[in-house]
Amino acid sequence: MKQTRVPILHGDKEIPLDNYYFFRSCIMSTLFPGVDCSLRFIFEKLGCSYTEDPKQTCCSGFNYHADIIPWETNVTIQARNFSLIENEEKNKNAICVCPTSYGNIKECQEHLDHYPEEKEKANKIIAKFGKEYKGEAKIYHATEVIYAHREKLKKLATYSLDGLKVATHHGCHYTKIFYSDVATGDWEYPIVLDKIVENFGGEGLDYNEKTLCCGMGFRHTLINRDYTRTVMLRKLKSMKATKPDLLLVQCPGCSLNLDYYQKPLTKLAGEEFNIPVLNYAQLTALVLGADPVKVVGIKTHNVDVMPFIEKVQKNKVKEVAQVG
Amino acid sequence: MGDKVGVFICHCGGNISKYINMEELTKYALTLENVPVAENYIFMCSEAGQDLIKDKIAEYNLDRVVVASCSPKFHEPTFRRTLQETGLNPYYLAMANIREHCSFPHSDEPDKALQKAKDLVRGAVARAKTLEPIEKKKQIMNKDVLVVGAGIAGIQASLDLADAGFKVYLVEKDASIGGNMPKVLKTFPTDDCAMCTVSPKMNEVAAHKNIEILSYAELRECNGSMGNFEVVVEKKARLVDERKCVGCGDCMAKCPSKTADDYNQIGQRKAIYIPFPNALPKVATIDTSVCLQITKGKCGVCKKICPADAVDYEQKSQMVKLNVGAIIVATGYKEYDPSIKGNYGYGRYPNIITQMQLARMMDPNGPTEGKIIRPSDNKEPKRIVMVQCMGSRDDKPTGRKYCSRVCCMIALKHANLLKRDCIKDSQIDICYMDIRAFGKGYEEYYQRVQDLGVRLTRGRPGEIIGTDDGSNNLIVRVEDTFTKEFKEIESEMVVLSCATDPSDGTKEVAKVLGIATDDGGFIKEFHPKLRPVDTSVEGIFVAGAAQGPKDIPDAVAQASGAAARTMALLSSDIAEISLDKALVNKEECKGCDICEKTCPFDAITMVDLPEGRKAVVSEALCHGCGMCAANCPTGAMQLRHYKDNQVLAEVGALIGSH
Amino acid sequence: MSDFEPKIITFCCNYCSYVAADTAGTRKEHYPANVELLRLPCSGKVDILYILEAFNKGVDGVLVTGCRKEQCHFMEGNYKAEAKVMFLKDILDEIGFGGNRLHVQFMSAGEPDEFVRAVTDMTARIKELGPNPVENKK
Repeated sequence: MKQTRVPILHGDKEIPLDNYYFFRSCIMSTLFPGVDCSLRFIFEKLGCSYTEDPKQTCCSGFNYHADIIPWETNVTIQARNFSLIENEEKNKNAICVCPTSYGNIKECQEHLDHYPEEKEKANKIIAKFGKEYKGEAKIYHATEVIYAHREKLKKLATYSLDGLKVATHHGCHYTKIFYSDVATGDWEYPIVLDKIVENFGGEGLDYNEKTLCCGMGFRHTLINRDYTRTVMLRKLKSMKATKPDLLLVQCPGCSLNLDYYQKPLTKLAGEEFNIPVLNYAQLTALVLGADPVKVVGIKTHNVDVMPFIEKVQKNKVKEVAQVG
Repeated sequence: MGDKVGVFICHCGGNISKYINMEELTKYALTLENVPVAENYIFMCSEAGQDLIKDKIAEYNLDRVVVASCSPKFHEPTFRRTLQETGLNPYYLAMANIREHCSFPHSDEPDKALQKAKDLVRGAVARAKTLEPIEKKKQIMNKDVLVVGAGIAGIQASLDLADAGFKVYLVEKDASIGGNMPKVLKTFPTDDCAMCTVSPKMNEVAAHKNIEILSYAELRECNGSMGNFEVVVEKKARLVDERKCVGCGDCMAKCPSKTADDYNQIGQRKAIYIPFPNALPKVATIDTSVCLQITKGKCGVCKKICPADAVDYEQKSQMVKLNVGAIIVATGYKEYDPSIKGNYGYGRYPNIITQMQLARMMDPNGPTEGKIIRPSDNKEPKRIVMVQCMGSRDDKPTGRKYCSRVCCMIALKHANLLKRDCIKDSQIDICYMDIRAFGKGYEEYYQRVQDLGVRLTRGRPGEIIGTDDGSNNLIVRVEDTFTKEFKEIESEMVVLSCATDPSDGTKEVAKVLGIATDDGGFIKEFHPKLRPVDTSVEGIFVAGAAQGPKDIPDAVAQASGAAARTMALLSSDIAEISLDKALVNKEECKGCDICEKTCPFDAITMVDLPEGRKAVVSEALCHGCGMCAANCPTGAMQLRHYKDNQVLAEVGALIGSH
Repeated sequence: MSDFEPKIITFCCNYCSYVAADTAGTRKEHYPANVELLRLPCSGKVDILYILEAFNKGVDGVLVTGCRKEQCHFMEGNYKAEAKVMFLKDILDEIGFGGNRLHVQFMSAGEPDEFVRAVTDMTARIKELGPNPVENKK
């Protein structure tokens, strides 16, 4: 199987270049279906084999981090998901769209692998419907995969991000849980999204509150709205000071917060933000020439992304072959 | 083969006898084959205990001895000496560790402890019978010393040795000797001028008839062993003739090429440079990575301008071979690079600097001529925050687990100097985890700094970010763990108190010399309490911050200690090397060269002899690990004192009756 | 089966595990008394011959202990020990003796807890496996 190595804090880690198991995300697939379409579009352009499994369930990470379901349930759900991945003939590399899925299923995997008795317990439950977790699933985040394919993607690009300033925001569950495993740079100051932007010729902005939380905070967003909105406001204000053309995010939770709540926050802030928000997969698909509506799915976004797309479309590097 | 083994069992004043039945054990020992005598005694390591062993050796004409007592780590040397005094070879001793490995851990099960003690004694007796004598090889002791690193520790050690009449080669990697001490401006807790303290010492070293300085030179190779090391030092090409250059500095004034100043760590220096005014030797050095003559092949200004005709672009580096009896490693430390911690913003925000950079700013002879200015706009900052434990006491992969010891006092010293001399109306905050003011006069200094109005916040900052107003000010986010309050301290400049890392030279020298390092990469001392200046290799000593973070008084004290240990070693005319090393049985050696590939120290070479290709072990290079013997397919290679028959005898006997 | 007391031999490196065992003793930490320790200058000195001889003599389990990775006094002895143990484990499995009667564990001199844990775990493991099959047939 083809692989490449990407730098992590101490050394590097292997990222497979083919055979993906598309591990979808609950929020992403429902609120921003364009992300799934964009990833399909990218994988097809790259000629990668991938599986979209209708049997895969939500990782339940939101519930776990919001203290709604017990840990054992979470682990057992993952044991089932892993058994599906292992049953794949060749597409055994789980590619998480969402940082919370990544952090959560990786944590579950470590737990199952570290405590054989827990693994046995989970396996006993999933055996009731004929499943078994053996311990072979490999887990990656989709941003790492896009970063690993950067050279080929640059060659495939229809547009460039030349002259465009992009503020990035990384997902906490990607950077802070398995902090030694973060591709490129330091987990306290992750830069993998900036690397993706730079690869397409854009500029990743260094704004003051770059590492501040998006404001979601899982259970906080459920029980302490004022607090989460204050954090979000601080984040957006700091970002706006650097006049970004786009906010690039990694995580569905961040997309939801920073996109959906920009307008409601206008009143509290006393100013308009109007920063269009895209996910790494959407931006990559866009640069590769995907249809903004049919593939990138910008109609489900709250802040209008069209102004940004128009700017991108001025930077044509080669003839567009529209793919619907 | 030994056929008269004496067994001597120690009570250890109750530590052993309280849990193990001594009489039973003694009786058991007597049932073993070839054991004519077994005795127990309250303290076998005492003089009376040793006399008992000696008497019995004489009385029974013993040829091997087993001592069942504490760990051989404590008293193996003692009992070896006892044997030697009776004329027996010291390697005829086998020990059974019935204290640490038996009476202590199994104090809850006396029956099982007794059974295990019997096993251990049986194993030791079986091993003793197979032991062979090992002699010591004698060599003439070379009395010269190599000191690597000419910081304050290296300088002190060199002076001590040279004053005692030993010839010292002092090797320094940088263009000038002096190390880090000249950079720090003042020293705590007396606020003495650092340069005024170290500069006379530097001159003394240069003038001493017994010291030869090799500056701008690096250690490349080391062979041999205690008493007779052969080292190779590379004297790098300065492209300036040291004998001709008078240090006038005319070349520096005219040189058109600039680069970052690695001495001051702020500002720039020329491609041809003398690192600081009191440099020693005070000669210019050309930085070949930026010199236009070297990189582009055109310029030659310095050569034209030099009144002494000292510039020589064709100069080549030289390999110098030295023979010495002992080596002192004093390769020092460097400041931790804080830019690897992204949340502290060093390298991204111009107004975040390190304590060393602040010290260089305060120096009237430094790059800012003593003015404290923030790099973004050259204005004097009035609000300064110092962040302690930058990289220290941090178990994350980017941090260092250890305490760097000196940073608390450095921050207090700088806060004191800022408030008293530099910016009297400044507001200084120090964010700390614990203030560790442990040295003589340090706590008093800490109290005085608090009286000056320096604010101390207990808490490790989570991040440092810029402000959005374009002022280039900074916000330090910290939780005050006394009041449990989240604070945002706005400041005009932030100073990071960085951890102490081993210098690059420390890591390189450790590799060349083959001495052990600890988790942090510092040189490991042989024993943290009892042999704090010895390294894992006999005849190589360590001094100063190369061994671990330390302040100047400790570094100097340790340097004198290392010098004294070196003198003790060199006071003998003969270097004795124990031959408990690998040995080849030439008849069985088939010349397969597996051992040669296995040896981590290149101590084995394959030689074509008339009888065929055979392995030959260099006794000087062999460390006695036995890996070659473990891999030898024919059994020709054996490690003396751990020969296969010796280990197998112990294995068999330990399992014995079960 | 419950009163089966396995006999275990532990090969110790002079620089790490032997010292760790000493410290465990000094701290009066208890561990099973059926564990015998044998000192070697380095875990790299462990010869496959020693392990096989121990099994042949009827020992129920062999534990090889060495320094943590990158901490070997002799640079790479611990790696060599690990390679040897892994190699021998496969062979023991193949001949039906059971590779899990042999185990390698790394620790530093400052980790007495690790030593206690290693020998306690080893004892539990061997108790489950039962006595040395060769010994039983003798």
